Amino acid sequence: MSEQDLSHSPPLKPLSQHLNVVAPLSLQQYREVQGYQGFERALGQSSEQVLDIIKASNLRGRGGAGFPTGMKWSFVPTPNGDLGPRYLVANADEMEPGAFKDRWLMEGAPHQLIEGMLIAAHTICATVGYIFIRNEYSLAAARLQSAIDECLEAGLLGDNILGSRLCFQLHIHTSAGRYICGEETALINALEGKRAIPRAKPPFPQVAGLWGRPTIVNNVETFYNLPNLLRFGAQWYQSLGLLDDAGSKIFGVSGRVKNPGLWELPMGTSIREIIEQHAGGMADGYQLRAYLPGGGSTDFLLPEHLDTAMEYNTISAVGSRMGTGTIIVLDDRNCPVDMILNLVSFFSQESCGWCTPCREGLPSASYLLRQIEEGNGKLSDLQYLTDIIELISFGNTFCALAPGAAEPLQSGLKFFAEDFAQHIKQQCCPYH
Amino acid sequence: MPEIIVDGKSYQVAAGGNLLQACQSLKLELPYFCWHPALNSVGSCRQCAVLIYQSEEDTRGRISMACMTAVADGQRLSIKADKVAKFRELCIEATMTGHPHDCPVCEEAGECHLQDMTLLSGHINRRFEGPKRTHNNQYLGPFINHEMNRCIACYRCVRFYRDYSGGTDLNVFASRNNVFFGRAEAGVLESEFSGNLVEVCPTGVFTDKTYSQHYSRKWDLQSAPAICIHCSVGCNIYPAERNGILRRISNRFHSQLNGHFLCDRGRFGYEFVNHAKRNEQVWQRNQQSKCTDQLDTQQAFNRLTELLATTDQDELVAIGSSRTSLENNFSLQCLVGKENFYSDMKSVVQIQVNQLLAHYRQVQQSSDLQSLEQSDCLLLIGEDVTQTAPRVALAVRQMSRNAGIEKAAALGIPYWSDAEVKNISQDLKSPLHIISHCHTKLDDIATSIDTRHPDVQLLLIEKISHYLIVDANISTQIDPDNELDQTALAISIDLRNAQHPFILTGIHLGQNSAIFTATLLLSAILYQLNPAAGFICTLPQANSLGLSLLNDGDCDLDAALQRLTEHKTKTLIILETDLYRYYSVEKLQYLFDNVENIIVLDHLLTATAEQADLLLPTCSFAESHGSWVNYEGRLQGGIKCFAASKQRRPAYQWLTNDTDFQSIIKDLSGLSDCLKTLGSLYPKQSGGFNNARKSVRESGRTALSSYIDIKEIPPDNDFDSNYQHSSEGIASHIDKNQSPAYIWSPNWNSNEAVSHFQQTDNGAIRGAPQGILLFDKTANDTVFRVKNATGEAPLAKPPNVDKLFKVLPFHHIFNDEELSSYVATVQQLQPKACLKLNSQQAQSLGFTAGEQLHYCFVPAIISNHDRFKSKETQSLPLQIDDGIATGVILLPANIIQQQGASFDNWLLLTRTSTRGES
Repeated sequence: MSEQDLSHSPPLKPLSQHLNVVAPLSLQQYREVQGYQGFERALGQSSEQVLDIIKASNLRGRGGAGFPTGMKWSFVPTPNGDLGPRYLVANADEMEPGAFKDRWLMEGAPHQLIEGMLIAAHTICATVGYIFIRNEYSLAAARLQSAIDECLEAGLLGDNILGSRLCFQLHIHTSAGRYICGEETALINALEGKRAIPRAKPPFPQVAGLWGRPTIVNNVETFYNLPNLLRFGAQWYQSLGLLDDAGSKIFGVSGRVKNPGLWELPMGTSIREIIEQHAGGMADGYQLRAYLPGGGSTDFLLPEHLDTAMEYNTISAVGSRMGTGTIIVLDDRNCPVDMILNLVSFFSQESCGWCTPCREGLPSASYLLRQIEEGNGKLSDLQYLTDIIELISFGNTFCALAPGAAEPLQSGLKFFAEDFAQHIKQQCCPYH
Repeated sequence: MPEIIVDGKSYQVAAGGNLLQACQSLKLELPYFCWHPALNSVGSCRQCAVLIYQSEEDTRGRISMACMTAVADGQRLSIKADKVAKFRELCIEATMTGHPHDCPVCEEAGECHLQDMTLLSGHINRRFEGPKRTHNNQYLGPFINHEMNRCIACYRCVRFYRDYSGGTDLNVFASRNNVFFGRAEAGVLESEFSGNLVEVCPTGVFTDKTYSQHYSRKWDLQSAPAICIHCSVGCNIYPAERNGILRRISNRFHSQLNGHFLCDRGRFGYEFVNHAKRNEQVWQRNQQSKCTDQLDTQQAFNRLTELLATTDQDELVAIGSSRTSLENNFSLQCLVGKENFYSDMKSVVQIQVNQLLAHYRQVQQSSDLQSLEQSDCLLLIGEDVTQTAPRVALAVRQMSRNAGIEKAAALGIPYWSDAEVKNISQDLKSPLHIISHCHTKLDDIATSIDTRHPDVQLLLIEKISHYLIVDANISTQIDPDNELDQTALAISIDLRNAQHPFILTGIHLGQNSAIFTATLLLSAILYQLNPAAGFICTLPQANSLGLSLLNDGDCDLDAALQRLTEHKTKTLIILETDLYRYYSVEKLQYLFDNVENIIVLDHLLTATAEQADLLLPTCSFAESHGSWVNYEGRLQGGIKCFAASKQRRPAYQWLTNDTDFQSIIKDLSGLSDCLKTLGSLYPKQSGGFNNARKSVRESGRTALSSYIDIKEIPPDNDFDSNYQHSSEGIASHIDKNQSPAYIWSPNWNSNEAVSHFQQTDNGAIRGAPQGILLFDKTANDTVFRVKNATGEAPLAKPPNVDKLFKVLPFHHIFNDEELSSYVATVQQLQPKACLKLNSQQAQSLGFTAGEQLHYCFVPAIISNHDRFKSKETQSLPLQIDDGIATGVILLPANIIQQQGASFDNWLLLTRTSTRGES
């Protein structure tokens, strides 16, 4: 089989071209637009060959950390006669403040997720799949369930799929709802019916994950990349990106902009283009003060960074993270201290309670921010907050939750030092 | 051995461990909460952070948790670097934001790991001014107090309770800084090991309620290394006393036995020492005045001498005790002569103990609990160890985890990475096969459970032996339709394939004799196949084996009673045993009436003691030195904790006209080669300072007795050992050649200080004797020649009568042991006496749950049905329990023991005749 589908021209928006949030495509409709052809192309190749394509494509995980997907999968040991179950999990527990991209994809194109998961299942020889979905996403869950039912009917799920040796059962697991379930090992614990607390690595889930078996957990959006990647090849996929990173990405903007929403754009699109062009710029009467480029657990960036390209390494270079690619905008009429308080309170609330710095550090930070915001702050609180940031920084905590929470806090303390000082000096919030 | 460099200094450390273990063994002070030497690492508290450098050039380093980092050769790390020291300080500051400032009213204060670690981490000033989170507390039963506000969420309690000891009713609830450790609803903790929460909890969330009833700060307590006397395991304990009251029991680490944990009977069964029924004076029955006279000590000695002088040797009978020390029994035996000295074991038990001794001598030594924990396949036969020797059951639970540890090791995950091992092993368990007549508390970890009638059990055990002997590969010998053959083959294959297979059984009331013999034979066969095979048989009481070694096989309790019945006996001496536990009131009354002088030595006013013509008050284990021989033949010495008051003195002193302890053990050690080193357990006083039983911080020394005399009363003397009843002397952490009198080390006030007394992680306490293994292969002569077991009775066939059942005991941790049964809190948890049948049997007989049923014991071989119709019957309510084999009825162990049934007996059930008529 040739590497590319030469009978069709490749799409410009491979993630969202067939997305319809009002009435998503049925299996039949999806197949009419070449749905599941990516999967069929994958089936025609060996697992190793598909893995090579994924590696060559330079696809990076869309959950936030941007870990190369091919490399992640390559850590799964080959079955070698081990007939036990191997698991594949779609992380659909989207709870990052400001992120709503996975919901959009799942509600609008449920079959594309299943197709992506089938490709992954073939590649890593998975036997059982779970879509671990946020409880509030009931519409997405219902649409996914009917898509699964259609696939079962059509022999696209179950035993000997499309006459091949691939057997893959797919289940929807509705989460009881905690932010920490987005952390892959906590998600695995939750799936096992245990407390949603993260696990230490090693062992990595690829080796001993769900029920002690080889497991891959990927973000929903990552799976959406796979069907067209298999159809049109790694080279085409690489070419989608404007700069170094490959493919396209769902970007979003929330906050006081004219047109908040989600758009599929090439990797490397500048922040300015996303905010000013796609989101229509700031709403009338509001100035751009700062923004979180990748959701609630990323560092603030300023207007001076607007020309930065949305790419993993480029965003990191200016001191923040690409995260989920969903930008939260802070305007000049809302209090930055209040915004940080809101975020830190959220993360404090969502701490799983396992490790000390996160469990005890975040509530202290939240308390101090509230004191400052409500006009009871002291200058020494700023040093205390800085110490808490040190306490919860990366490597000091068990997982990445608290270090993520520290990001808007530490950048906020730096960029909005005057606001903090003013709150403390005036013993009130100047914005209210 | 890998070399690591800590703050510029090189150290050799053990391979395979983590950095926290390494730092602990090097006595480098690194604070920690969630790590525990037996529970290992989970990395949740983040307190043991160190800075790890990638290379010699790396000056920045990276913060890592020592407990989660494997030791590597050439590793460079820093504990002292500012960056990591500050992190630990910030971490404890965060911990303390939720902790109340109630140290002055907290039972933990003064031995609080949290206090120690806070000081060690350098956090002094409080910055956080917000409100503290609060919780509601729960009633958790008579032993454990719950004060959740003090919780620092180290997760140790649930990790011990659930993961280590298999409990299910304690859990962690909620999340974030609101995590709650307790039960779903208030109620008595169900685990037999709940008391360990007191020591496992690094602060005062779980505290010892019984201790709080007569609380004293740790630094005011007097303690000494002692041996638990509540079962045959011989766990090492620290009794602690102040002002004549035994305040509590805490764990004393022994690497081969109890490790870090005790059972609840051992920890909370101590209050018989403070009991209102403690004998404190000498009483003599006055036949003329029909009352009792009090004698002074000299009069008592004279009276005893006089009674013995006027009794002919053949009119003298003495009964020893399997719950008191070897020295006490030995003194009695010397006094009355070997031919007049009897054990307090019924013949069914004594025969089996003798069989066991023969097995130890001729076939195979017994194993310790450490090797049980390392076993990879266990066959448990006929003993509910969770109830009879609970600490053994805890070891079985660790054994069951080995398969998972091995699986993790294959993936490169070390055993100490606790949560990860658990995630990898999931439901994987090492093979544990249980053959029993009813369900047990170990069923949850068993890989096979065979609840069978004793006849079938016997067949099964014999078949397992058979398959071990024949080549198991010859499958043609297997009858595919015979379920028993299949089971036996499967078990034999597991035993054969294991590296360290284990047989575990027990003779609490005496086993079914045929089953016990078959079990010994099976173990012998297994041992021949595999010299690494282990064997444990638990025994009825703390010194059952010691007494049997002193005693000759024939001289059991039944023999004593037969002699009392058949021969005129003028004087009967009973040492620290309550015969009413073994015989009915009627039977004993008849015998006692025929004895002129009954002399009882005991520390409690037992039913037997009430019959005494001369009652001599003795010391409990806490007030006397003494040696005990545990189930494996390990002779261990207990040092007295505090001096006896009133007229109490150790039984050996009453019996030897005040001979000192060192002379007694000198005589005792002359009895056999294997006892030669007995003296090493009780080092004599040195010329200079001896070891202090109290800490230098002891307060109120001069005030305590000022209501008696304003002058300071001098401390009690102990001429028998090199420990003294004083804070003056060598503190326990200084003398490295002596078993520490208490666990304390500078900066380490809690029991966590134990690591400062160990050479290696989980290694033996330095200076503390491990006990003398009497059946050690190097021991030539093992005490007295005991006759081999008498011939086995053939297995009785059930007489063909309806409602006739094989009677077997059900044990309960708080029901079966004599001394702990005196304790009020223990009594609260005793189950109600009942008969137990499975529902199918009850249904076929038309019995309903709760119904009061009459029963009587029937000898195994009966020819005439009418013979037992006239027999006296008892009654008990019926409880339905489907975990019981058909053909079997269960009665409480203490009732079977007392009402004189042996395991070749049957039980006849009848409905209460008045039912329906009234």
